[in-house]
Order: sequence, then C-alpha cells, then structure tokens
Amino acid sequence: MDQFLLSSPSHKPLPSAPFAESKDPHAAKPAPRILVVDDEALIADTIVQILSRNGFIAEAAYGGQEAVERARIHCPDLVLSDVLMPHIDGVEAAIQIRGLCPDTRIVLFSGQAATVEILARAQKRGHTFELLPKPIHPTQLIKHLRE
Amino acid sequence: MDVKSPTSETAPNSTLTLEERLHRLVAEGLLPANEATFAAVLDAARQYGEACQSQTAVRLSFALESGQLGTWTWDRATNMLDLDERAAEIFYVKPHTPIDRSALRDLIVAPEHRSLTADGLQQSLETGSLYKAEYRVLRPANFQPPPNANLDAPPFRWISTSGIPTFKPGTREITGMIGTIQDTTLRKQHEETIRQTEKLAATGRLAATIAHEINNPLEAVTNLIYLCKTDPEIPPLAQRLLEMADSELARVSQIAQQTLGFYRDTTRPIEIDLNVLLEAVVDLFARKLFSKKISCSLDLAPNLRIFGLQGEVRQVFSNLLVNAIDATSSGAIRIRGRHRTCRDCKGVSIIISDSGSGIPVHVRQKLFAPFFTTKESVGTGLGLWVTRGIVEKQGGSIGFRTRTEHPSGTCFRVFLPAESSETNVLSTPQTQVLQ
Repeated sequence: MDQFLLSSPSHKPLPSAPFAESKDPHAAKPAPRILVVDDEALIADTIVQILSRNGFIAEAAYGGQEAVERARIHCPDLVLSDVLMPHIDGVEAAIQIRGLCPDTRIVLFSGQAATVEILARAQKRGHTFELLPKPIHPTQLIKHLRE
Repeated sequence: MDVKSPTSETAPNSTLTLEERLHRLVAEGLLPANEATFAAVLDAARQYGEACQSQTAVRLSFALESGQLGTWTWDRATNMLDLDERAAEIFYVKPHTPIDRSALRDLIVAPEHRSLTADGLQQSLETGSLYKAEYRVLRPANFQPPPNANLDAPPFRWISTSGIPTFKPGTREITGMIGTIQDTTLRKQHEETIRQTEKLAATGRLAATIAHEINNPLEAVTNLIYLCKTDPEIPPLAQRLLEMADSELARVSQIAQQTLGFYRDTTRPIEIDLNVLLEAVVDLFARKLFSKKISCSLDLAPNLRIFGLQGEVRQVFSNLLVNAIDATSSGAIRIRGRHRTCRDCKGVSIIISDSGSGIPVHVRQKLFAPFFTTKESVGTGLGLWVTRGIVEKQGGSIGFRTRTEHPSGTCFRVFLPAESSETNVLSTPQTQVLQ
C-alpha cells in the first residue's frame, strides 16, 4: 500500500531504545516490542502506528514468511498476527516463531469463522494461541495486549 | 355330468374353462370317460387353484406389510371409499367403514393440498392412467387415538398414495379405483433435516465470505478513525465528529457479528461480571431504545458473577434484548438478575421481559429452530438458535413464558451456572418451553 502515507513509516527498523519521551505509565518498563503481521498492509501499518502511539515498539510484516524471518533475526516480545494469509498462514507462522522464540507471546486475530477450525488443527499439534476477533477496537486491542 | 359334452375342436386351450379342457382331454382319449375320475380331477384342479390363490393372497399381505402399505378401493358411482386397517389408521378413520371420498378430503387433507388431490384424481379418471399423489393430512380435532398411539406424534402426516382405475368388464368405462397408501412422514422429516443442514452449510459459507469481505475493511477504517481522533492537532469539532463516526462504526461491527451470528469466542473462559456486562449491553442499544421510546430497567442483585466466554455471553443477552425491543412497540423492558440454584448447580438467573404482543401458539414450538423467523425480510432466523447453542455450551438453560391476552408480553429466562461449563454440563435437555 505505497500510496498510503503514514506519518511514521512502518518499514523503518525497530528503534534500539524505548521511547524516552513517552508519557505512558507503562513506559517506565522497557516498551514491549511487537511484530504486527497482516497481509493487508493498511491494517498492519495502522496498527503499528496505533501501538507506537501507546507505548509499544511496533513493526509490521506483511506475510507469514516475512514474520518468521524477522523473528529469526530478533525475537519480539509479542507477535500480533492475522490468521488467513497466503503461503504461510498465521497459525503456521506462529508455530514456527514459537519454535524460534519460546518466550514470545503470540496473539492471533481474525475475522473469519474458519479460523476456529484452523486453531483446532493447531491444537491437535499441541499449540494453543490467544485469538482476538477482527475488527477489534484499538482501545480494546491495547488493553488486551497490556494484560 | 355329461362327460361327453362337445367342445369346440379348434378353440385354443387358454380360452377354455377348466371343465371344457377336461372334456377335450376325454375326447382326445387322454382321460378315461368315467364320471368319478372326471369329478376327482376337477376337484383336485380346483383345490390346486384355490391353493395358488391363497398363496398369492399371503404373498400380497406380506408385501403390503413389509412396505407398510394400506389399501383402498373407491367406487365411482357412490363416491365411497373402503379402507383396510392400515389405510384407515393413516387417514385417522375407522377401518372398513365406507366413507365418502369428498367428505374425507374435507376432513383431513391439508388445505394447501386439497386441489392437488382432486386434480390428480380427475386427470387419472380422464386418461385412465395411474393416480399418484403425495400430500399432508391433518389430524381431526375430535380424533380419538388408539390405545397404542404415540402421543408425541405430530398432528399431521405426510402420505403417499397411488391407485389404478378399474373398468366395467369389456369397456373403457371407469367404475372406480384400487390403490395403496403409505405414511411418508419420516421420510419427509429426513428430507427436511437434510434441506435444513444444506441451508445451514450454505449460510455458513455465505457468512464466512461476508465476514472475510467486511471485517478487514472494518478493521482498517476503525484504525484510521482512531488515528485521526487521537491526533493532538485535530480541532475539537472534528474530534467530536470522529468520536461519533467511531461509535457508529462500533455499531456496524456489532451488527456484523450479531446478524451473522457466527462469531465464536475461542478465548479462554474468564470470570464475567454480569452486572457490568448487562449494563454494557443495554448501553449498546440505548439509541434503539430511545428511538422507539422504550424504557429499559435493570434490577440486578449485586455480584452476579459467572465463569464463561465473555463474547458469547454478551451475544446471548444482546440477542434477547434485540428481540425484546423488536417485540415492544411502546412500553417497558425489564431485566432482572438473581442468584439461583438449579438442579444443585449454583448460578445466575437472568429474566428479560417485554410488554409486546406475546408469542402465538403456533410459533412457540419452532422458536429455537434455525431459520425460523417472524421478522420476514429483516430476520435471519438464527438469533435464538445461536443463543440457545451458546447457553447450552456454557452448561446453562433457556426457556420462556409468554401471554398473548391482555396484559400480553414475553419473558425469557436464562440460567447460567457460576462455574465453568466443562465441569457443569447438564445431561438432560436444557431447553424448556415453560408455557
């Protein structure tokens, strides 16, 4: 989504230090580093912006494979991933990331009924993931991620 | 007996009577011209014929039994029907008591099928062809069921009947009909179940497609509005407008989840404060209540807590409140919550009552069935079905009381156990029609 101009481009590398100027009460702790994964770039980019404004250090990935590659380089504290994506879907990526980064919290979000079946398959392989509905209001998303 | 009685020498055997054939055998010298022998052969042949006939009758009766078929005969001149025992039972009448065909039709054939049976018969009489019809018959109000009757049987049957015309010997004149009749209710019910399942599957696919198509853009727009309204440089007026856009969008998201009814909460069960949840649900519909000038009062005992899936429990009360609002033209909706123990299971009972016109008798039994709606074009017929599914999954129960006479209204009662559903699933049917 090149035409979509965001004030803070999501492609920039992760800042090396937490936002010192943030007024967020949680800023006292090191800001959680979140990898936001969605094949719809507009959704990934807007969530990255929202989270960045609320005391997280967020970065976008636009597919499952890309998410796994990012995690391989540097484990985030949290991965927020869409489920149904082409090539490697969110559940498959989540399972791979969990193998690479056992301490990373993984939250999936999806607007599809079929997601439940996909999660059931993951469960058979011994993996359970948190799942949030899509659409989710940003305030609820932030609240959930801070829990 | 004149054993030498002449017979036509040229007639083929098949056109002769038994006696004539014996005479021919005597004439041909194949049978002695002896009266006693003649009588003995004739007698043996008759007995053999009767045995064959009786064997055919036995076979026919077994065939009818195995096909669960009843038989009937109809006399065109008198318009009287004669029914055997099974046919009479299927038709809700006494066996072997001739009954006027038209009177029987008026008595039991479902109004929507009366012309079908009459037209089918007429066509068969005009063409001399097979009569075949499948239709519904309704149990007459004054019908006395036999002692062994299944009291839970529905007050109607689907039947399949067929018959062939009988002719006046040697002519094309139809004098009546002989036919069979079969109760096909079970088959019809199975067909109906299959149809419903197919509808359900199709709706599921449709819902999944719609969910996919609209949930992503909804997410994106929600995020964009949030980013705009939280921008510190936005003027206060624009900010207020964006707040409104945000809350309208929240309604769209809620409606999408609710009308599709396929939102399944897979987060872990948590402790839910029903006092907070119910207030939030009422708040969500504040605008709708206000526009219909309906008041909604909450009378909740303190500390109504249960353990369950929050999104789904919210859906249950949203669905029931929407129904209550739709049923009420003006007046009040009351929501009452109390701590209750149901079958040794501690929990919470929530009653949502409206002052609508009540639920008509014919609607009550179908209320929780999928695709059953009284809201014509605006209803999906899935609301209460989904609601019941969620309540039962939580290990709870749902029932209703309704009154169509003044003062009319309906109240739905939901019982939800306080503990987790896994440890608390009731084994008996949980849906009760309280009235």
